Amino acid sequence: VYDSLTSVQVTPANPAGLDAHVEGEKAVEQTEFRVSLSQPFRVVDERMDGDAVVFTVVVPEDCPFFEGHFPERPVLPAIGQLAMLTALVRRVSGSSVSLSGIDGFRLSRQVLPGDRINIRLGSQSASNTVVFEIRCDGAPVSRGTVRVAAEHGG
Amino acid sequence: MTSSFQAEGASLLPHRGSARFVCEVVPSGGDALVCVGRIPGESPFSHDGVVPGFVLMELAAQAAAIDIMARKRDGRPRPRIGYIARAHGLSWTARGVPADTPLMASVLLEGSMPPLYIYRAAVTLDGVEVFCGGFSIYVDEEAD
Repeated sequence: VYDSLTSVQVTPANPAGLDAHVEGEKAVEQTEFRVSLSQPFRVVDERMDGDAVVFTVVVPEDCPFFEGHFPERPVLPAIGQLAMLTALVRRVSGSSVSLSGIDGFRLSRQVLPGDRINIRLGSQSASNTVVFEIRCDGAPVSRGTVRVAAEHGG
Repeated sequence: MTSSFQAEGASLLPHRGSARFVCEVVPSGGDALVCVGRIPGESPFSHDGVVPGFVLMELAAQAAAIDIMARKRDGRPRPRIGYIARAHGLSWTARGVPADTPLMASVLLEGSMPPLYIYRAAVTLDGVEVFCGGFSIYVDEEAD
């Protein structure tokens, strides 16, 4: 399903879904995606770094994942990070896959409304796994290895 | 755990609205804390009545948060904010689960070194396990 990121086209899987917008003076591609979710995140950049793909994602201040979590102290729940990972793995694999598990998930920093984060996806020797690292302002947010399965499997 | 805590346990969670997945604590007769929960259809994680399996991690974490509060009751119970700090060996159904459907979440404290609490958890749907694994919760003792 997802053997190697090196063989994955990182150009947008759905060019029709792209909008150009200007951020500062730099025009970047912006994709809004809905992967079993009602609220899009904004992917404002993606690039290759060796065998890995690195995305820059803005978490909107009005992202509904913050609603009720917590009322006076909004923090992106860990499952919000998994929602982003699901969307990005689908984006690079270009197929309908879902996450089926995670190992070595370590969370070091909270993601807050308006944060701009970098998500790095890399391949691993074991098939159907993707290693990831999320950072914000250079500081580690989380890392781990997700297992990927066909959306209608297991 | 007292019957009164079983009744009020879910209300002690700091989660509000569609972010609260635990409905009630049920008697388990064992060391594990067992909750009935559901993922609301109005949750932003629900789409067309289906919820990704990874969302069950949050249900299990909320059950663990109630268990932590039950163990820490010294005087008037109050909501505590906790965060998942680590998770290992988590598996869930890739098919997702239906929203607005009763789920049974069971959490067992495996160890603790406050403010860190280590749990093993399982979630079932109609008796079928749809989530299992271990995680650690960090409790923010300063937050009210």
